[in-house]
Amino acid sequence: MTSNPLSRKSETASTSGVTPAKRLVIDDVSFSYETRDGLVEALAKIALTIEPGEFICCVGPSGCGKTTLLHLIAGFLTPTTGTMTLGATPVRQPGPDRGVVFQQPTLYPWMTVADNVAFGPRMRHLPKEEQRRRVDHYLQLVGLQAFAQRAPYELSGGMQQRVAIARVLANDPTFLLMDEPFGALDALTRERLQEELLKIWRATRSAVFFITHSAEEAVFLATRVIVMSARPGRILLDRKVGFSRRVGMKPREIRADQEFIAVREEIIERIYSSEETP
Amino acid sequence: MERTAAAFSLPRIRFIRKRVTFLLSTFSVLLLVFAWWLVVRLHLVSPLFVPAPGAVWNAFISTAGEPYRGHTLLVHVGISLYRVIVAFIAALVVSIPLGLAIGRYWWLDALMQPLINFYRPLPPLAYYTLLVIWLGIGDASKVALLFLAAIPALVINTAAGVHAVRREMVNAALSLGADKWQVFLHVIFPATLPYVFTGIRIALAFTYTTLVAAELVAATSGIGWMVLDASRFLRSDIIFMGIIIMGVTGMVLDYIVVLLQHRFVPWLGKA
Ligand SMILES: Nc1ncnc2c1ncn2[C@@H]1O[C@H](COP(=O)(O)OP(=O)(O)OP(=O)(O)O)[C@@H](O)[C@H]1O
Ligand SMILES: [Mg+2]
Repeated sequence: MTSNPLSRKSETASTSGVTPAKRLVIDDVSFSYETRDGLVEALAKIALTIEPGEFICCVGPSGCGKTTLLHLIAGFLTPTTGTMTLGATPVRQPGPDRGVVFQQPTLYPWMTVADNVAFGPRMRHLPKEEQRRRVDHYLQLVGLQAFAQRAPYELSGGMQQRVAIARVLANDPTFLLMDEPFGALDALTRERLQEELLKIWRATRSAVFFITHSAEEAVFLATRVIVMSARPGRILLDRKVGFSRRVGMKPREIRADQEFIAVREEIIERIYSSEETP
Repeated sequence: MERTAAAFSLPRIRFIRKRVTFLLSTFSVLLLVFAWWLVVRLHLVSPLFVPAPGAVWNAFISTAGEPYRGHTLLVHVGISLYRVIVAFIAALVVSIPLGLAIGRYWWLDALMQPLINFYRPLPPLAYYTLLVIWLGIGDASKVALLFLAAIPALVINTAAGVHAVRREMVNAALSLGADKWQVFLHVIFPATLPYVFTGIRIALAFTYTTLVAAELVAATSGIGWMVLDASRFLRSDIIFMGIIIMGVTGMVLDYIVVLLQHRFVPWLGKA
């Protein structure tokens, strides 16, 4: 049992029963909410394929359907039309292969911070020793080991979000779905967690679907950036980027890189133009 | 300005308010007792209707010491509490699983809805007469009555608690690998606890009221029966004492539930 997170994947895959990463195919999916005033079309004809190991960052104006798309992938919602398949099977319900970090942290106030992080491994009956190891490791990672025995409501909003991130990572998903996970954090913590997330992603080869409002964050993290239109959400731009694969370069250098800035500006421009569409 | 702000910081204001609350509450009780004493002292009403505070105190001392019609005061109160507690625990054991299930399965809700809605507004004393015919005048009919009286508030609040569980709480658990049963046990049940405790407070108060009323109608022991029996002999000192004991006991029961609530739902209002 080593504490190196990079070697963890292979040793736990057998005990946890998590299936290897699969390709996600979203085929002309649209989604409408039923409200008192009739149907609200949130997503229109989304077609998107996500390969294992890809890091997708999704940006777009508020209310354009990003969270809706994430909840569809998570299996919380069912497409109104179109199909969604993960590997060979249609996505019908939530499962531990797709870990979700919600826009608002949804921790359980009746459990301590440590028990919240242990929740997934405990539900899946991993050995006690392994549960404890993961709790320690991921609380350390998000800088909250001192708060392990606290109640979640005794933490600030940003700290709660970090616990929620630790809780999902501790469950070892092959597909990470993150809804503006770093939105409530200070710049320093955010950059540190961005780099940690990249490390974990590189080590595990999981796929990531990451929603953000920051073009800078998107370009820094993603292998593909997706820009969505105002509601009903459609994909306006689907662009490959490669900065997160530059392992040798320091994060500071990447962010200051001319090419990085150019791509970032391109994305920002596309977001602005998407908001103008009525 | 700085000083004022520091002198009236929030914890300080809370502390002062707690003190003042205690003083005001004590004052209102003392004022009532004083008014009572004054009314008797000035011979405004006959002591047959309103006994002096001292006479009530004497009634308390004497019934506490020697048996009143078979039992001491403590035993009468104990008999009453025993009936409440046995019936209430039985009601909890039935109502909470039932409420959880009703909240979760719409068809069970549909099945149970008319039954509960029909018997909830019935005054328990109305069906108490039937229970006495079936089970006799002893403890069995009373426990059965209290059991039935406690159920509606418990079931309805528990079911409402299930409906109020945030969808995302459940979704989070499912995507962490919990199965349906684990979601129920580790998420839905604890999330309903604030509602369950609301139900417990309402149901316990109602059960206690019902008990005293039932003892007033048909019994041979208990604090309610003691008051009824005293009224036959125009012992208003014992009636007053009995009523005060009932009120205080009810308050203590409620206070115990509030303490349990703080212990088991510490997140109430915070998350
Ligand atoms: N439960 C719901 N019922 C009805 N309409 C909804 C519901 N949830 C979202 N919507 C609508 O669907 C649209 C998309 O919502 P969604 O939450 O996916 O937006 P978003 O892109 O995540 O926005 P933000 O960046 O502000 O989080 C919104 O315009 C909203 O009005
Ligand atoms: Mg959103």
